[in-house]
Amino acid sequence: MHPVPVMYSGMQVRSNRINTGVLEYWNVGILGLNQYDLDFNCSHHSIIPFFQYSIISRRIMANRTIKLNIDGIDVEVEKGKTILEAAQLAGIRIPTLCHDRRLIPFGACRLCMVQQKGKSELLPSCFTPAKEGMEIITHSPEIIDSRRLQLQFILLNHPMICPRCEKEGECVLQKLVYEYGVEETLYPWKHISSPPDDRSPLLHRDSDKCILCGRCVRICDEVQGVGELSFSKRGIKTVIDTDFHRPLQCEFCGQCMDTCPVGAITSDRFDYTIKAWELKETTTPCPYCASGCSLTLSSKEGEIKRVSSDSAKGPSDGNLCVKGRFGLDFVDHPERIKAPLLRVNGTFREASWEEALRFVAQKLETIKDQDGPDAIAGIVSSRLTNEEYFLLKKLFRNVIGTSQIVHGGESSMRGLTEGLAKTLGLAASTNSIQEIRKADCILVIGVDPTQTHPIIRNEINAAIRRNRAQLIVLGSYDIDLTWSTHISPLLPSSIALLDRPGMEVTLINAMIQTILKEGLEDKTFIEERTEGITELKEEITALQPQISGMMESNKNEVEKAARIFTQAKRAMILIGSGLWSHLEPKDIAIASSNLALVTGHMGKESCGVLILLEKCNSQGAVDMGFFSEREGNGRKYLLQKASEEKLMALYLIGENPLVSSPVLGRQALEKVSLLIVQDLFMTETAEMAHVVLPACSFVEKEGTYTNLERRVQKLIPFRPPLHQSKSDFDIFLSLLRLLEYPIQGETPEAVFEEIGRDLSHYRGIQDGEQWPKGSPYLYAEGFPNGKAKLIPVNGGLTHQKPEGYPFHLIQRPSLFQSGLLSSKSDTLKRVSEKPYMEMNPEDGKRLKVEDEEVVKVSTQDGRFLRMKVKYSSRPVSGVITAPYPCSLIEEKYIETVKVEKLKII
Amino acid sequence: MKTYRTHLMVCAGTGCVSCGSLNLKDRLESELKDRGLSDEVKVVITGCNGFCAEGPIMVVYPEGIFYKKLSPEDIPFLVEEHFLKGRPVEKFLYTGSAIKEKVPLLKDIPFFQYQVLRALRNRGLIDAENIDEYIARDGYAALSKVLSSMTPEEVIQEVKISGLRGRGGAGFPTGLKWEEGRRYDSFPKYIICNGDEGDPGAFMDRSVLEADPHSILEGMTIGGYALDAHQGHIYVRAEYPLAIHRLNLAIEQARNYGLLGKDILGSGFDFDISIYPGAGAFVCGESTALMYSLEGKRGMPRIKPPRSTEAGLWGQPTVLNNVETFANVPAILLNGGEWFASLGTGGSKGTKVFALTGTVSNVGLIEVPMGTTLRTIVYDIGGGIPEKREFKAVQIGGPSGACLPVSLLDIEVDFDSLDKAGAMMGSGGLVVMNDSTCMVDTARFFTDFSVDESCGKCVPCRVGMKVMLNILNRIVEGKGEMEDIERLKRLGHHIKETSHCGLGKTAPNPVLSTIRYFRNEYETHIIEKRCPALVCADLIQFRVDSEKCKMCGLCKKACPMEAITWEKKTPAVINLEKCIRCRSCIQACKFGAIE
Repeated sequence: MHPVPVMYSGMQVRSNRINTGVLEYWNVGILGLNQYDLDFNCSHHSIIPFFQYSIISRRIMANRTIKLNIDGIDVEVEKGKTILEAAQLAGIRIPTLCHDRRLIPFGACRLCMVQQKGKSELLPSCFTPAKEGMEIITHSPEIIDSRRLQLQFILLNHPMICPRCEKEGECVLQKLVYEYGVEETLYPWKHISSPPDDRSPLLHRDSDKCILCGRCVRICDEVQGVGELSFSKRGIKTVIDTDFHRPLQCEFCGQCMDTCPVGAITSDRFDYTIKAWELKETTTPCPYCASGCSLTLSSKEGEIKRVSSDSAKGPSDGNLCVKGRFGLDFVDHPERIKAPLLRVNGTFREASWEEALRFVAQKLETIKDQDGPDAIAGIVSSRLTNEEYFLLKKLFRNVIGTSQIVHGGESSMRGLTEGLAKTLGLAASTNSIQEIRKADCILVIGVDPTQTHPIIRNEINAAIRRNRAQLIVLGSYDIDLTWSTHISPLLPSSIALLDRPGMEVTLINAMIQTILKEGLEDKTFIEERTEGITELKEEITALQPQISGMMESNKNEVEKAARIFTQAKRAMILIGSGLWSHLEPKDIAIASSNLALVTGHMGKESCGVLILLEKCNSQGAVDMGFFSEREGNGRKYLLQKASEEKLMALYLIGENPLVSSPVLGRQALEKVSLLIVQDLFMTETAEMAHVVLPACSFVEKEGTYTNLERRVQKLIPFRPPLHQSKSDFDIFLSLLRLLEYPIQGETPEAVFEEIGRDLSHYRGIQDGEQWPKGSPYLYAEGFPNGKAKLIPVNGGLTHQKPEGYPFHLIQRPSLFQSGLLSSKSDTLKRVSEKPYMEMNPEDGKRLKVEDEEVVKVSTQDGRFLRMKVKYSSRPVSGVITAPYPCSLIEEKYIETVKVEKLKII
Repeated sequence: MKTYRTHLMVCAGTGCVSCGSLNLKDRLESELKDRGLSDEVKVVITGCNGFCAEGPIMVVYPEGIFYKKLSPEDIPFLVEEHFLKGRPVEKFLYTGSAIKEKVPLLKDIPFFQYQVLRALRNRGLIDAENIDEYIARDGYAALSKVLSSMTPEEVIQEVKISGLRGRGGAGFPTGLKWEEGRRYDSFPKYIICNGDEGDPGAFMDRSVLEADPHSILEGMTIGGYALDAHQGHIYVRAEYPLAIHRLNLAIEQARNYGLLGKDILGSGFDFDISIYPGAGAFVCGESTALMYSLEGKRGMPRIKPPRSTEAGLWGQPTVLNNVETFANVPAILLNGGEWFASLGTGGSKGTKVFALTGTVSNVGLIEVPMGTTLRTIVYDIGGGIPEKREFKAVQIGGPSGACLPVSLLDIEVDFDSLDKAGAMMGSGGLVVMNDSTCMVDTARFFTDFSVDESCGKCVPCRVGMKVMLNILNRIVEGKGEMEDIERLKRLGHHIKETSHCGLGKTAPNPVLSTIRYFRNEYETHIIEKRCPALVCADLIQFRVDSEKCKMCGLCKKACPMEAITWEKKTPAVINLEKCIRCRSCIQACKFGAIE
């Protein structure tokens, strides 16, 4: 009887955007938003377009503020703000339970009711817009009475077990009940109860305590784009639950717990061990990815009990991912090295710092004297502070006299930043993370931010949902984010430019070609601010044969993507530094920069190129000059040199070559006569060392990290170094002293000042400020070299597949495992997924490999792995993925392999 | 074209279908065929005739003879008598309730006499599944007029002149809403028809959709033109399969005729409509919850602002109107706003469709001018209270509405006067109650409904209504306290003031209005622990008053538990140990002897 409703048949999408003349009239700059925010829509998975309201009201009173009076205080606010926001501005507290600054107002708790003077009607202040001339009363007898009754209602079904609740002392409900003097009610009530749900790791939910404010549901959907929780059942039986009441299978970011005003969602890390008032809070940047979220560590007796984020600090707007919130237990891992170790007769013995450092200093001096400074080399990780890098550079350059101190890992990071430096002038991302949400076209190249940079994923998600931004994915692997574009028929569906590994530059060149061919380029911008357009045009035209070599499916899509990218008012390019496939990352950076320059998407808010660096201080390492070395002097070169017995001493700081390059690493380490390993943990590499120096963790030291948006943030220790460990800073400082090198300042602050003298960008930069001079985006006033360079790049190099090895294996990043630190977090291990290999079903069917079948994957040099196959349309045909860390992958992020069926036994 | 001497309009509204009108039609057709009358008498299946109490109904045109309660077995005789011999069959004619006389013609039946059909202008006259019949009754003439000779602004102006207010309950002026929707310069825009009729006892929308689906399509298309929208959605209860079936047919036919789809009537205007069956939540009748549901989300009302006319479905300007509102639109555009405004009262123009149910003689669907008194509706149209019972109250507006007492029988039914009386037009459910209804229990019934249907979003509706229900439950169980009445009033006002959506804001109305008009019943329940209407089982003693008992033994027969002992010429006795308080004996006793 019922035909399937065809909802969108005949739907006339006349225009995706509001692009009439009225738009120009609308206000720019209110709420930190801009005219493109006008496109905010209600595509939120379950929520509504509150922002749209402020947009429309702005149409009427563009660029104006309004004045109102709240409790006798005159307040002036921007048009579009709510009464609640206006009151907060005036310092008047209106009680709320369901309100969270990050979320669209919901209006469920009904506690924020206020009145207009002379009117009896109660207005919910959390979503009622402030209007000119309003006279608001926030606490009249009627209002208080109404709030009291509301609280009574909530308490009717709320278990009164506060002394046994983890939230005691910071529970919003508890505070309000106390403040409003809510007494026990005489209303008849039968308690409606459901058992607590502790089946999920990390997060426990207790429906009994839940007051159904919906904050967890909304943050999971609106901010995270995950939508794991939702309202279930209705009326008084309403509960918050997962679909079909299954255990959580989410990102475990803990945002739901963070926003819960009562104790309905808690972590087992906190359960019954502590009360809120016993906690000591310290703010410090996160040691994981380069987003550099600000962490507020709540600790008791030197142990981290809980992590949250201060919305006023860092780029994360108060949000955190699973690693930042739950992954910090590595600092207390039992494998932390307790004391300096010296190898004597093949075994380690504990030594004093004095002895160990003297040994190192003497050895280094001897080798330097006997074999020359170039017999000594060092490899350092991206997790040191800027000050430590500075001292380390002094140690190698000035004391030992070699430039053989390089940065480990991330071979592509150097290329990417260098590429940008070549074309634009500075080796850094051009814009800030929070600008992403305002872009209306986002090109994501070779990275899955959901796994690597969840905070940036949140921004992209916001741009897609609120701004109807167009997402373009370029690479050999499709990403999760494309899902976000399916939640409304009015969202532009994402464009995936997927091709063989190594085709990135060609695809970008093809986009530029379309733009130039169709005359879409920003001619004024090119004319005034760039040089080299003629060469670029010539070279791009000459690339035709290569461009025609891309997959057939991409040909139309590339053109479409090029047009949308160009026509977007604000377009951003995000490039992953853990590039999966391309041979020359520098070319990708240059090609991307070309694309941004020819379209004029540069030097403006929400327009530019962002490099998603991997580690917490990758940008600092770049800034401190660890990449401006001559070519061919990288980590692989040094390991090669060591394996050829041309190196006597190797100093590894936070580096573990036995894991990152198992074959070459072992060959190299076995050959050096002095291996110094400085690390937090007794790694495989440390086991081979002659001297092991225990470094301390980020919560035990001072200094600064610079995040990928050039934000310099200060580390604040909340406890002294564990065991006998020392900060890298102190270790380098002692070595410099022993080697009799004069240091001007001996504290991180003093060294930071010295950095400022060397690097003008760092001069006078305050904690939390972005260099240069606090600029959120670069090149607003021009390029350092006058004009930006358009440099043609040839994407000719693609990965070759030797006969018999038809697959490219790429390492898929994992949200829960990103390197040494996460591998030492037991909490993250509890939620990590079981490893599996993704394979395009097309390939699977060709090889007659079934979904869920275990296969053998082997490399040319005979190494192999057995892994379960999962069909997935995310990798293109010819590409398989394995999760990080994959032992088959050496140095690069890609390996050519063959896949064989296991014999059926 | 083939012409027939006689047309037989067989009602196929849900009511008549459920009492067998489709069998009737088959039997009629075969009988007519057997007697060689197929070319002279045509059987037409129509939508709801309205007089549901007398179903299955058949009206014979051109005379307009009204046959009621027909069964297939009656057909041979009827065909023989009427269509062969030309003698209308008296025993199937309607008998007046006041004066016991046969009334052969539909137009003379009081039930129809007081009605003015505008939204229901085609009821019982056309085959709902045939677009030609709709067109023959001036269907799509309004659309043609609009597309060929009117600007969207003129259309909106005409609707404004008509004074048409939303028939879904709140009575928002339709013209204003359309004007709002037109003002926003964001595309696409949407038109939504709200057919999620959930009030207990209401079936206006269903009847319109079943009887005249094209009028909705035409109304929506006109709305689309006025707004510059090109897509309409009809959200209709999945419990209305016949309405969905007919709507689907109608859409298909309209598309084939070029009345929907691209370039309608060569005007260059595109408009199409899709149907979305609701999943059965009452709250999805609330406009924003309905739109969420349409988007595939949980049906939960959202905050306003923005209004739907600014940002509704998928965040785009959306105009949502009720079925009856759309049904009125073509007539307004065809005959002019002034024509529409000529009926009705100051603030409420035109007519209103009501589903008249409860303890009234003529149960059915009626359309009366705004301002018609309740007395006219209950006594003249409804034929008064049957079984010599007393009128007690009229429940108007469903779970959002109120119970109005006998003293308000002369109230003129329109938006404003109902509002003043603490009631609400609602979508048009009108339940008449006689003296066997307990008002506390009635309030409890509607509160229970609202508790069940609350979406659970905001605290006052979710928890507050449940508290009210708990108090009402304890009153009907005889555990009430005098303070409970004041508690209910306080809670009711608080919930009305602080609830989020229309459901919560009106949910306490049944309780508040019964306290206002029937406070004494509450007091009897609380103080005397007695239910005067003998409805609340816990307050009935289940004792036979031997003075009143006429020793007839009917109660013994009715008792399912054999708890009553009775012998001839002795009063019955109820064994309370066996009694399960099912009230069967009370209903069986004609003398009110059980208390």
